[in-house]
This record gives sequence, C-alpha cells and structure tokens, in this order.
Amino acid sequence: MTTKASAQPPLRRKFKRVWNYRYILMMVLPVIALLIVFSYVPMLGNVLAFKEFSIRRGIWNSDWVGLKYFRQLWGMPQFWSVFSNQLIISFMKLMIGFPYPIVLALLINEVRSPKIRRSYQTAYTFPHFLSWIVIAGIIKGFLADQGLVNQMLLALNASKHRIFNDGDQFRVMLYLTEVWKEGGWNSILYLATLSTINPSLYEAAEIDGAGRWQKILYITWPGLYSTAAILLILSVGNVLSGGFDQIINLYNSVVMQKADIIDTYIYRTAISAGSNYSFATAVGLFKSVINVALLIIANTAVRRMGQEGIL
Amino acid sequence: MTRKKRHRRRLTIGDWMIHSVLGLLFLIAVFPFYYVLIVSFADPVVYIHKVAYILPYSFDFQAYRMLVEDSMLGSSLKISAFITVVGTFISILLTLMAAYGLSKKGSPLRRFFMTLVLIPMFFWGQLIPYYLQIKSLGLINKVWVMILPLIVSPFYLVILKNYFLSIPASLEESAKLDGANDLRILFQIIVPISLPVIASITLFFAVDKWNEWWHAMLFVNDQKKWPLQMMLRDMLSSLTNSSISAIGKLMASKYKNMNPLSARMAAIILATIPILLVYPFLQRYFTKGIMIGSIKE
Repeated sequence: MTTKASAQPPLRRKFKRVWNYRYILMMVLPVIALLIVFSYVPMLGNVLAFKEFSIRRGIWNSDWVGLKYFRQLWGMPQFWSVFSNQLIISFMKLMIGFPYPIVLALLINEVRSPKIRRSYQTAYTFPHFLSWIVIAGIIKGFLADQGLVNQMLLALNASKHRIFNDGDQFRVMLYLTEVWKEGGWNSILYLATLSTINPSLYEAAEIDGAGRWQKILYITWPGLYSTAAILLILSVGNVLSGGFDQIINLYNSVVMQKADIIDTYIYRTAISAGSNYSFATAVGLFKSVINVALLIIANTAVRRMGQEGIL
Repeated sequence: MTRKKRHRRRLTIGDWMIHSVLGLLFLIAVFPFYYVLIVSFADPVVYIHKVAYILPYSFDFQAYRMLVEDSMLGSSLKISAFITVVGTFISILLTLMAAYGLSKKGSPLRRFFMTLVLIPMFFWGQLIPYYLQIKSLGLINKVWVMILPLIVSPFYLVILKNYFLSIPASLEESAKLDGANDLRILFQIIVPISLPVIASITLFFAVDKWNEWWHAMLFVNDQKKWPLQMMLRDMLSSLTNSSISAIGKLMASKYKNMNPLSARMAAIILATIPILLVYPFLQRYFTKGIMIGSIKE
C-alpha cells in the first residue's frame, strides 16, 4: 500500500493529499481570505510611499517616485519633533510600565489569602477592558472645569491645574494613566508564571533560613525572568507605535507640541483637506520598518542573553 | 505549631507594608469609578453648592433620562449591540474552524497558512492604503465596516489553535472510523470539550467589539451609524466647548440646567455596564487563556 502511494507521480500525490484534507482547507480558507483582503492587500499598498498618488489611476498604476517622500520626511523639522516626542513618551512609558507589573505581581504574590488577592486583582485589571474613550472621559471628568480636582483646588484657594495646558504635566499624566489602565492586566502574566513555581523550592529555602527578600531574589525573580524578557521584546518592538488611542482622546492644540506622536501626526495628515496620500504612507511605513527592526534587535539581544525569544 | 507562630510574627511588618501599598492602589483603581457613578446621579443644584462632590449627596436621574430618551445615544446603543453580537458570532465561528484546521498536523499548506496568520501581528498596511482598500470594497459609511475587517484576530486564533493541539488525537479517531467529516468532528467532539476556552475567547471578542471606535472614526461619517463609543467620544471631545457636539446642543435647548459633567459621567456608566456584567466571567478564564496562548508549539 505504502509503496504504491510513493510510486505515484508527485503532483498527483500532492493533489490527493489536498483532496483528503479538503474539509480542513475549506475551514481555514475564510480566515485566510479575510486576511488577504483586510491585511495583505493594504500591506502591498504600502508601495504607495514610493509612488506619486493619483486618484484616477489608483495605487497600482501611479508613477514611481522612489524615495522622494522619504527625503521630504527626513528633511522636515516637524517630523523630527514628532519623532522625538514619540521616543520620549514611549521610553518613559516603558521605564514605568515595564517594571510596574512585575513589582505588582511580586506584591500580590506575597498576599496569603486567596480571597484578598482576588479582590485586588479584580480592581487592578478592570480598566484594561474599557476603551481609551471611556478612560479619557473619566480623566477629563476629574480634571474638567467643574471636576473634582478644580473644585478642591478652588476650596484651597489655589489656582486651577494646568495639566491640559502644560505639555510636561500632560506627558506625566500620559505615563501614569497608561500604568493605571494596563498595569494590572500586564501583571496577570507574571502572576500566572509565579503560580507555576514549585512550592517545595520555597520550603527548602525556608529550612535554609532564607527570608522574604532572599526568597524573592533567588526563587521568584529567576522564575519571572524569561516572561519578563519576552514582554520586553514585545514592548521594544512597539516603541514607535504606542499610544494613539490614549493621546488622540486626550490631547489638544495647546499640548500638541509635546504630545503629538507619529500615529496622531499621520492621522491628522491623512484627514486634513488636500492631504498628500503618498507622504502620509511614507511616514507610516518609515515607522513600521523601524519597529520591525527594533523587534528583531531586541529578540536577538534576548537570545544572546540565553533566553528564548518570540521569533 | 510554635514554629509557625514565630514565623508569622516575624513577617508582620512586611505584610503590613505590602497591604498598605496594595490597598492604596486598590483605592486608586476603584475611586474613579465611584466618582463617575455618584456624579452621574448628581443633582445640578446640589452639585454646585458642594466644595467637593465625593459622597452621594443627591440622587437625580435627569442625565440618564436625557441620554436615553432624547439623544442619539439610544440608537448608537443599538448599533453597538448589533456590531457586538453579529461580529462576535462570525468571529468565533470562523476562528473555531480555522484554529481546528491549523491544528491538523498533516494538512497541506499548514505552515504557510500559519505564517500568513502571524505576519499581520508585526507588520500591516498603513492608514492610507487601508483606507483605499476599504473604499474600493464599498464599505465607507456602512455598518459592516465595523464588523468585517475585525473578524480575524491572529492572537485569539493562535491561542485556540494551541489549545486544540493539546487535545489528544485519539479522541477523534473513533468518530473518524464512523465516517464523520471534519466539520462534524469539530462541532460534536472538539467544541463540547473546549467550552471554557471558547467561552473566554468569545467574551474577549465581544469586549473588543463593544470597545471598537477606530473604524467608526475613520470610515463612518454618518452619525446615525455611530456606535456608542463614538457618541461618547463626541460628547467628551470638547472639554470646554460642549456646544459643538449634538449632546451639547440638546443641553443648550431642552436641558438648560443640566450639569454637563453629569451627562458625560452617565454616558460613561452606560458604556461601562456591559463590560461590568461580563467581567466576572472574563476574569474566571483570562489567566487560563493567557497561559494556553503562551505555550509554544
């Protein structure tokens, strides 16, 4: 039977295999089709960045212009100001947002009563499931003219807060609200990893006279190390594209100079009247390419350090 | 016994510190929602006379009445419900089938399809090419633009595929011998034993769809087709100048003494309630879901 099958010509054998798996293939195809229509066609459309867009001729038939729009981009002071905003905001978010869930998980892990642990987690994780529109609404509710913060400042005879008028304060608000929304959620992965650590390790350490700190340092932290490495790769790979949902719903023209990031800049460029489609695409593509490069670099670095990467 | 006692006493100060930090974070997490809730019910007159409105001093339904009866929030609620229900149904159905197909180790093109699924997690079409594709599909200003592009989520697909891979193949063997085709095996054997995971992914899909606004913001100009999130965005966008939004106009004409802050907070509560309702179920499964998703093949 087997010898007969292998004696068949390869093409026929291949066809037979496809036929045997026809139901399986039919089940996968709808998803593949949707990916092609909504992910891959736009992905190929990125070539627009190298073309002079003409509405009448569409992306595919427009003329090639090479790096024209990238050169225009690289020569623009405004773009570099947006670029540095993005780097600063993303970097600060990483500095706070990366260690915070680890610390939170370590703290929660020290709570012995499962009931209390659960109620802490319930509260910390909930904001993750709300959109930035809702969260921005809550933030603005607090900071609105008639909101709580101003009411209290008024009662203290202090002047009104300036968070929405001061770029630096606005940035700090971005970092803190990001942690408030996502910190609890991000700690779940660490807590899940912690639950896989063998309890006998702790018992053995206790017998050897290890205190809480020593147990955290020598058992808990090494257990979290590889999870932390993977999450670090992912966030480094996102350094140039984080924060659109948050900033678009919070910023205003006053803080724009310090809060405008690449994605908000692309959005405004794209929707403004008489916008240049090729230019807007070039901005996005430039960002995307850097992101992928960073992801690969971070992945390689983590692998060099002896950890498993994601790619 | 004595050893345990001594052990406990030694750690008391550390425990106390941990609980005070976590307790403080708990308050920071919960207080904003409490504040939103009490302000949404605040009577405008009482509100103005309080130095700080931090206790439920008054109980007034006016803001909710305005939102539900007179604003377009009611119709946007229907749009959101439609997008969530229809979108989640299609998503979970197609994700189930694809995840099952991709978990079949011998099937042709499997690696190629997996690569096709994974690439969009890291690289995608830019805004303008995406917009042009949506336009050429005739989806501009259609409710379906908030459903079709969001059906596939590579992330959930991979989670489900990994879960299916962990199911022993022997379970299917007998059904195969009986001549059942793959579709029947999936829905009669695999789905019933995977219900907890499927339930959690369904909920995640539903939450994502309820929270969707990006496609609406970019591709839907017609306010009548806006989901709740976009209505909310419109209400909240103008911090100082609320007269721009539709709600602002309504307040200027019919609800003159309404506290605009209460109206906004009430809208936030309306958008949050559905999430709050499914949250206990989400919470039961999300740790499990994350762990399964992180298992490498």
